[in-house]
Amino acid sequence: MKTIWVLHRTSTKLGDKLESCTKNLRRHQMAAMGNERHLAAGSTEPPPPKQDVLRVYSMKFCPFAQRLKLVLAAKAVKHETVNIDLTKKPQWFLEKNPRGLVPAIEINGDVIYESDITSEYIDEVHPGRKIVTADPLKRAKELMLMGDHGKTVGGFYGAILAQDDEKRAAAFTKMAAGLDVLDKFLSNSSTPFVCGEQPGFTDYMMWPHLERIHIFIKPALTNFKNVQAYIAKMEKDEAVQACRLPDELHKVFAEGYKTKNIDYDIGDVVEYNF
Amino acid sequence: MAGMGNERHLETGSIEPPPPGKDVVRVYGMKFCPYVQRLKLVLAAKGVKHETININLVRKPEWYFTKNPKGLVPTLEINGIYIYESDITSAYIDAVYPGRKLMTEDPLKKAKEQMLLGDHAKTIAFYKYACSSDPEVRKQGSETAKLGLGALEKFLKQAKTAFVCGDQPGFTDYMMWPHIERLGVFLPDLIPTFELVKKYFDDMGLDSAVKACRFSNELLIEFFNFEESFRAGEKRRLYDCGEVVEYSFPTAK
Repeated sequence: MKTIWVLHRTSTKLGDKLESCTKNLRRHQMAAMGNERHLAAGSTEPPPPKQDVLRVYSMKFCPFAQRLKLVLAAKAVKHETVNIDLTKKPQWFLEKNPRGLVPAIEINGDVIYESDITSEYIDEVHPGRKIVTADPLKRAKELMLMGDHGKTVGGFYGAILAQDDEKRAAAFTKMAAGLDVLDKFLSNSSTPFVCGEQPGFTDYMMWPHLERIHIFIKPALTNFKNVQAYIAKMEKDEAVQACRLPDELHKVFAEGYKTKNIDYDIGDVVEYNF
Repeated sequence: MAGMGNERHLETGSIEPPPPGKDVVRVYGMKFCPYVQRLKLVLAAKGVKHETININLVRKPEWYFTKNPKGLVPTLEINGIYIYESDITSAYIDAVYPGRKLMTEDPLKKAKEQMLLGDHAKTIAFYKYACSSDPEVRKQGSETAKLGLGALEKFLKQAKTAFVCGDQPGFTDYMMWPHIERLGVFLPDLIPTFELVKKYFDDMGLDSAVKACRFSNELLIEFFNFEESFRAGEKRRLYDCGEVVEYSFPTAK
């Protein structure tokens, strides 16, 4: 479902940086995260999606929303995006989704939330390559790996938000513990990706935070050669590329995130047709 | 009640048990652990024969960390493979062993159940608060549990089925049961305030897997009170209360 491009604005300051960062990536390839304006409290509630249309409530820079976006891209699932200002959530969004989190999907009146729940649902309901591993033992091993990935995620946030060296060091240690498990998993694996010969569900669930570690705290990966090689392989994946935003844009967003002064609508901004 | 396993809880300094026989399902557990109970319910519902080794969780055997680096229960050991986490082990058993599939197949229903499990975390939270000696904290636990039960009430009202998973208890029912059961014991006035949850509580009590894994309220309270003394700083727990079964292999040095 394509959003009608009523207005297409690129911030002048970032325009040049965008061009230079993305010379190998065409604009439409990056659109997968959704450049739609982030709706805030006081905004008009969008009309419900039409029959059988999949709507994704998202935030352009959200790594959890990116998990779902990766699965949607990998399975080429058409959908429309409504982006949400997470610091000033619209009341209408909280009524649809009491948890108020993204990602959430809305289809034929049903609302589903949580990155893993929505991603798994999409995989089951849409045709094409099955992203979720079928073999029960492999799946169990991947789920245990996801548990350890929680340390990588927690450590990452701790590291970028830490106000003092001690907290930062503790966060790095936590992140290293998670990365170490992944590194060992990969070294014991006979396949290039966690899920097998191609990236699968668990690869896509882990990717957004690994991507950000690579952008923001690359030194954290120094001791983990298998993880570095894995990241290089993941970067070539089509779905990964489709959901990629320029590093420069991520950095601008992260600064806002750290200083609690977030501007969601940076880079390309697309308006809604409602 | 044998479903939870009355085996003695092995502690620091104990001899490592020999590995299980070929294709034998071994569960490392703790008799009163609600997370272990999730797996035990699934094993009972599917009629999966297994052996149990219970672990003293405040004085863990050194050898246990080689099976599960986090030292938590439950852990499954089958043919040299170790799987842990209550939901992961339970899903694995359901997928691999024959008999009724406990996991909901319909993707939308399953998604709704998974979201309910997220809300169920509030019901689980009571367990932490209820152990506190501070009445304010305990009250907070009760309030949080009400939110969890409220979510379940709403779900049952919309689903219009006897159980979360349908006409019979399924995966999500068994994942939720252990903490709901304990809520019924320790905050008995709470569940009856929710009409559908009360009926659900009674109906689950009739399920054969639930019955196989259930202890008397008295035994649960006996164990729980020992937790109180643990929190008071005694750092001992009476895991081996009620019936105790010894192993067929040597455990003490």
